[in-house]
Amino acid sequence: MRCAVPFLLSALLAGCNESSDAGIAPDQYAGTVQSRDAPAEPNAKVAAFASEASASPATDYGLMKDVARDLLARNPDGEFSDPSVEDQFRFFRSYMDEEVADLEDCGSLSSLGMKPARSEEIDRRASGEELAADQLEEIATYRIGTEAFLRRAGYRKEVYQAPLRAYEREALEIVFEGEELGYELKERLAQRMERRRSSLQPDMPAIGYHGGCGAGETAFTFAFDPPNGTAWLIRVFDFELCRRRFPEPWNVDGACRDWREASDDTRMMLSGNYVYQASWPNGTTRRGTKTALGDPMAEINVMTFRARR
Amino acid sequence: MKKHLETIIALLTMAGSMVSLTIFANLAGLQPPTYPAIEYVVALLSLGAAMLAWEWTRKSRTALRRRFIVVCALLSVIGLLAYLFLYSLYVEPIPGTDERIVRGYRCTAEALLVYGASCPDLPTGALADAQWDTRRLWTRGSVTVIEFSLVVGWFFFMAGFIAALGSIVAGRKG
Repeated sequence: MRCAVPFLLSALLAGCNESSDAGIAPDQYAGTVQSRDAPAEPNAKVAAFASEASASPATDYGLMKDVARDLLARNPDGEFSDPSVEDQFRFFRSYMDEEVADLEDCGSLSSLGMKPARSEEIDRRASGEELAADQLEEIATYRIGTEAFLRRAGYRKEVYQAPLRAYEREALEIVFEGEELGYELKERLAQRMERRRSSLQPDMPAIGYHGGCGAGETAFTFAFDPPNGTAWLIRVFDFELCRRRFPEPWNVDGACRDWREASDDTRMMLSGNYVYQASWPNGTTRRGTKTALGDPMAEINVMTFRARR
Repeated sequence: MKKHLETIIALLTMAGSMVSLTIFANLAGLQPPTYPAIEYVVALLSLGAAMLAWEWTRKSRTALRRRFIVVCALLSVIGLLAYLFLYSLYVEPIPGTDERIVRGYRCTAEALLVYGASCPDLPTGALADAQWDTRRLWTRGSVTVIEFSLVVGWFFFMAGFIAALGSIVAGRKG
């Protein structure tokens, strides 16, 4: 099994500023396929880490870093060979810096142990079956990594075990129904854990799901003109990667898995430039780029998608 | 008694100068980005440098003390120039925020795939395209080296300046 892309971008909160908009021609993104490396081995190392981490609570994360390095070292020339992935462990950064256990992993846990697919496997990857396999690995790795981290950080198992079991069950149901995993599951996971922590371990740092994986992000909600539209967003950089790797970068259900759905009730932490595709119930569609220029002081930033200029 | 009082006044002068310099630099937004509370860490190290300068030079001969002052001042100037040079090359403010990010000098495999020959001197637009996540574009090692170099340059500037100032105050004859 493999999984290809960082898991959740997404996120929350509210905001109100306008984003800039620039239309682009769809054919600007005609895709080309690049060759990729060998498939991954199962995540034995991560499982080993989970069992090793049952020792005394500690706030250092050297062991997790070692595991990450070890997994990444197996694939020195691959897509995820950059050891910076360990720096993306938002769990640890938030816990150490802000005294909050943020369950957003920015893809770092979900991507442990994976390797990119061979070029001849790209077609298979685009199939629903392959995506489901990817997501199963994401669920397993995220659960094991999260559990190990919370245990090492000193949380009692009563705080995290049952919510993680529920998360796993719900996530598996979603995958078996052929749906994509969304960030709502992790939000719910964090809420369940936080309820237990506040009564069982009130002195421990709060557990939350704050989202946001880049820098300078502000909270955005989305508006549609005409209403009831749906949009899909992806960072321009991620889109360019997809365009070079996959034949159908615009297919949100395909191999390019960084697309994030936005509707009226969605909130995300955004900064920088995004490629989007929006559609309305009357069949109107629009593609283009948007720049998320939010006001960090504003409570609500709004990104508006219009069917016509 | 009078000597004690003079020592206390001299130490207070030094501490006041150090705090003023730190506050001024912070207000000017000159302190190194990325490390949390690094300005306070550098201020503490600078205080240590001032104490050492005080200890070494307060009873030394004038010629030796002046040599020490010149060396510290030189270190301070070199540190400042190096810091400003690196800052101009590698530090990028994020528009619309107070955040600053530090670039690296070696592209990741993904950035090479997208930007090719433009690496590693990527345009600001590339950062916006990657949600200002520098480690998607440059390797962690290269970003860390630059971050660390900025702090070292800043430290030499602050510590050299404070040590030179400390030596001057230490040599004052009542």
